[in-house]
Amino acid sequence: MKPRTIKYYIKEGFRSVIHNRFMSIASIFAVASSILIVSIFYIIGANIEHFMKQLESQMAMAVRINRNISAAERAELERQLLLLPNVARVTFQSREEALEGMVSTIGEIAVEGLGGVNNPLRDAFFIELTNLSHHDEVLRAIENLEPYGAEQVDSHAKIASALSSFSQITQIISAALMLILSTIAIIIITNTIRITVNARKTEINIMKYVGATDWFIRWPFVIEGMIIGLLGGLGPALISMLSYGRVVEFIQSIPQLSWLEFMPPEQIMAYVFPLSLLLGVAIGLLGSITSVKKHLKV
Amino acid sequence: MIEFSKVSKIYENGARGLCDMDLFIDKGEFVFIVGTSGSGKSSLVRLLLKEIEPSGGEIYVDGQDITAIKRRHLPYYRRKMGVVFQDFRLLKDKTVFENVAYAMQIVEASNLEIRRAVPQVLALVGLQKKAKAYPNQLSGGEQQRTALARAIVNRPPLLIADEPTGNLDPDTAWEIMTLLEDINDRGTTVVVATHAHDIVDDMQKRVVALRNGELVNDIGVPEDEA
Repeated sequence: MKPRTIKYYIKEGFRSVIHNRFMSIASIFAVASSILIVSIFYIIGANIEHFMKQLESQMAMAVRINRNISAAERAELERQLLLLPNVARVTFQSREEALEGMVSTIGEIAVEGLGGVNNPLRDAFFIELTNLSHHDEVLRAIENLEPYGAEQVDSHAKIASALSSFSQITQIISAALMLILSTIAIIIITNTIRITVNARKTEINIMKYVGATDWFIRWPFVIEGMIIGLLGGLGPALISMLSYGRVVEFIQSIPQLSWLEFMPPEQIMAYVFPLSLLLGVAIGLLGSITSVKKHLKV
Repeated sequence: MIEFSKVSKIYENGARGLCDMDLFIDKGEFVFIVGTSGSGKSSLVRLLLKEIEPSGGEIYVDGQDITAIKRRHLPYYRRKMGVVFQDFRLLKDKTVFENVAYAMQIVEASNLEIRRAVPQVLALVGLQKKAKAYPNQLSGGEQQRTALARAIVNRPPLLIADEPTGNLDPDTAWEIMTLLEDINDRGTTVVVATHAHDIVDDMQKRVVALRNGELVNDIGVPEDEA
């Protein structure tokens, strides 16, 4: 393909968008509304996953350490814990720090006389998992570390299991919704583009008689579809970018929901912006190719 | 240039398009195909354009068996011929210049070649002053002349015209026929399917008459073909 032919396709694509401006605008709105819905579901899904990760990180296991082991043995236990699969982080907490924590939670009077040598608490390692679904296997592995000084493991087995299941269900629902909505969007766009192409079937017919190849006819339509898709994707991308931060601020201003920690705007936009544009271009491309196809058999 | 050998066309509904037709048209000839509606004129033109396939027989155009041409090679075959239809079939959102240039763009001609060839061919059909007009700003005759310009701009060896004067008044029809004769004088083989008997009678060219899909008369065949 010669560069002047590529230039011709691009010029014809833009010209067609402008020439059929009413249908183009209708198509752009159809693409934009579909992608906006997909983007909203993506943002909701991503934030639910974000909440889950935060909760997971708070679901640490506490491994109580045998009082009689030395500092070197304790270091070895820490090393063994870090070697376990699916362990993300190991944090040490001394018995003094644990007691201070109790004081701040239940008050000084309740722990009076329990300082120094009378402290009944034990040093502990707090373990964060890469994923809560591995909770049970990590628990069993830690129980095997008793010879290294791991005496007792406190975990939130039931909560961890429930959270893990909820997280998985959320991910599946979110992915299914995205897929369904994207499919609906493609169907809407294909039909919209089909109407524009149908209106121009005589034109395609003439091109065929003059000796144009299928791709020579198809390319301007494809470029037109991509332009419409890109413009349709740009709208939701900008809407998401401008409104996400404000929506988050509004939700956090509600006292009951102020504890919710959302994904930072720049992090979520790094996905939503290109996703909207790519989805728009892909929908336009697919829609135009399938719509032109049936008119080419002349 | 064109050879039909025992060509038949039976449509899916059982209608007979052509029946065992033998026809030879030499390079540089000007041939009228005449007959009433349903005589087989349109079937003959559609077969030449490879818009439909014959039910039997062989068709050769410029030495090539066109029944063997694959669909993906069809555009390259169609570039060997110019086609003019009764309803002009111009691209309505393109100007006269652009409609003619389109035929050159599909063969990836350079802008320089397009800028040189299109005005020449528009001058030939007398439309140099209408280059920037859109089809809906033209008369029927002007639209047909634009279609003619588009058909010949790539200098195809064969020009097929299907009822080119069907939508035109007698004077304009004569103008178009004169143009077709000019084009033929420049070496292009011209095949015109028409039912305009007065023009056919006056032009004194070879006339192939069809009836019910059969060739019933062939008048004015060059001596070497007869």
